Amino acid sequence: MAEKIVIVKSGYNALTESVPNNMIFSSDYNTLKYGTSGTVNLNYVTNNGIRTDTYTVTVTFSAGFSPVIFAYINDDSYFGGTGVYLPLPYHSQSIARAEDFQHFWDENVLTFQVTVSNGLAVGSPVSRTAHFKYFIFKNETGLV
Amino acid sequence: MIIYFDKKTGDIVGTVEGRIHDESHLGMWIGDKEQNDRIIVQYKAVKWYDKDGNEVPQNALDSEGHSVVYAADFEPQTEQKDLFVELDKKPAKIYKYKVDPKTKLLIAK
Repeated sequence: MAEKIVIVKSGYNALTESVPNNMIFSSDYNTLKYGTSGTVNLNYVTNNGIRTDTYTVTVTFSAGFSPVIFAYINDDSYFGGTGVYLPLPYHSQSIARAEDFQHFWDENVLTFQVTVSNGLAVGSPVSRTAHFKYFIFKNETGLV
Repeated sequence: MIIYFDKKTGDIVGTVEGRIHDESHLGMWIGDKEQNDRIIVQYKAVKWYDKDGNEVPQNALDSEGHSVVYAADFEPQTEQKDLFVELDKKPAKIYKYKVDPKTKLLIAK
């Protein structure tokens, strides 16, 4: 029997368990290796006339490879209060405008982008802040 | 925690979370490099314990010359220690603060 490391959940036998879902860790399977996490704020404006505006902010991490990244958006003016996060990309549509919240990255830079497309000139410009949360893992996507 | 802020306004633009920041964290930057500055708050071990939970000196050894240090308590290295302990538990609360660009201390908005 090949040697390996297995850590099972409480109540399971580490010597005999074969179902991955019942394991905390197994050297038979790759795992997500946490690298770093953090938050980013991006200020943007809506109701800014009939136009499309794009806002960006970057996180430079210089991994040297394209990592696995998870990212989330919280905008307490839309999503029911602080503490409510949704995974990116997120699209918000109303009769007056569309807002796209997305992220993209390469081997060195993670970019958060908000695109606001105002279809109607309604009211005065409104300043908003998108709160993003990111997780950068040591796993490579292998896409670059 | 590493906090990136606008040099002129003190508004916080982003963070890198964690207690101990290695070279990969220190090499990161958020936003414009000319427009922003950052505060780096590292945690440091301040008390050391053996495997029975007894406090021991950092360099405590057993009779065979092996270290008996099994665990440690860590504290943030900043004059705003209590605040950063709270931020370590709830990182999103950082946005209730801004940075005084002169003192580089956090001030409530």
